[in-house]
Amino acid sequence: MLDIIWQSFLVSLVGGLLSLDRTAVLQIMVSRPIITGPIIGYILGDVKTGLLIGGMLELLFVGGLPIGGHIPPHEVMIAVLVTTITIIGQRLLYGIGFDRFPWRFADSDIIFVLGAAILMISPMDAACKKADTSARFFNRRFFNTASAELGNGNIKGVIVNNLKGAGVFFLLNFATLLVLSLAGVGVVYLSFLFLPVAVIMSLPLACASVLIIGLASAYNTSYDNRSLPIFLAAALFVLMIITVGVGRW
Amino acid sequence: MQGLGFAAAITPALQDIYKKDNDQLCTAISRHMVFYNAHPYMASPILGAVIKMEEDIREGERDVKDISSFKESLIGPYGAIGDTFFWGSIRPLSSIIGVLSALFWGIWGAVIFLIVYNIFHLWMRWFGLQKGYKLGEGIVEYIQSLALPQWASRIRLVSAGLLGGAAAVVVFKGIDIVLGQTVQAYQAFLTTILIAGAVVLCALLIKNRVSISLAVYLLFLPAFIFLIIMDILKRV
Repeated sequence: MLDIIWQSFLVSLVGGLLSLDRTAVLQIMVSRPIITGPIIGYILGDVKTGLLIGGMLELLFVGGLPIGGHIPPHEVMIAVLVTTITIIGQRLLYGIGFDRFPWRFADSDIIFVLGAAILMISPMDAACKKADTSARFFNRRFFNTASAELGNGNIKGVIVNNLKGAGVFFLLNFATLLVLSLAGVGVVYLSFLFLPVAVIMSLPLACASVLIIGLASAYNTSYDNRSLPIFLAAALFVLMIITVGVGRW
Repeated sequence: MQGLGFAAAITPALQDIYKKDNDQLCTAISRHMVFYNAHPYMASPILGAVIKMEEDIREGERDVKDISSFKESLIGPYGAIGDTFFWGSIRPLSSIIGVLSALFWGIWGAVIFLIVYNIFHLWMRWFGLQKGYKLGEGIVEYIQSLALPQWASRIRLVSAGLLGGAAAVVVFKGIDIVLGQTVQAYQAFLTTILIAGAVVLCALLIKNRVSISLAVYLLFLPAFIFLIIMDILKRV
């Protein structure tokens, strides 16, 4: 149990730092799921799963553009949470000798836990957006403080208050990640113990859904009158090359 | 919105310009403590041009009102250009290249994503700042000459092609994992066409303002219900 809390604390800390890249600091895109997933996977000792989740979520959230007043899904926190819940949840179930499947629960069954984590994206995203909006609302006061300090001739106040804004983002994101990762692992654990097996067996379908919606979301970003024929032609061309390449004709 | 950020970013340059006069320095920083909301990367050329204008003000060659009118006139257009070019085309392109590379070279896909994206990003940050400082208000014509919206449109087509390729690889790998190596070429073709059709239909859903999370549930639920009914029938 202490292990789970420690690992959740660690990934929340790193996740909180990575989330600063989203709007507050640098914006070099280390906050994208394709980067966040493997980093969190590395911390939890499973880079491959982290990369798989990161890749899936990258396509899913690539269309989320912060244009105008629209608040897109909080992709970095979602990536941290889905990766954490999946890896820790799988280990927890494996550790207790989960025996409700017709076969012995193993590493390869991570796809069932991933499916459960994916189905939690929507409520988790609502909580993450709330944390983000609260941080933005709270940060308004730093603008007024900086103005007042500048009026008193304190130039450093501008820089310091600007950095304080990033600090608020970090603290709120860190706390939200910690609470949601622990709650998410708990929900997965209890779901696997008490839900009907048929429901659990259907969870990999959620992964397939994310893949298809992810491709659709990415396709939407390239939407143009000419994009459909290019998309289909490229898909068939690559498939032809692969099938010829592996000798399946 | 980003007024404090802009003021904090320009403060070191203003400290350099108004070295000895703290009052003038505070007044200059106050000029930038106002509403400002543009694309973060497109702020670099504006920042460079404003530094140049601040130097002109110090020399008495320009009125302070020029700065606010210059910034205000560019917030909207540069926000739109940045959103279209960086968020709407470069980021999707980098993501698709990253995911496609990850399918073949694992973790290198993430590294490739960062490199592709940041070539464009850091170019705008660094050269945008330099060009802005060099050209002053002339930066507007320079950015216009780059024709970023037109490039965004071309890049979106490249993304569509790469995404088609990525979809085929994903489907093929998926078929291999789920059904094994015995699948024939025609089966792989049919599956790809089916999935490509599903992708286009789901894209239409998302285009019609169905949220991504809801779309995932909409796709998952029918299959889930089907499995549950099958299970119940098996028991009966």
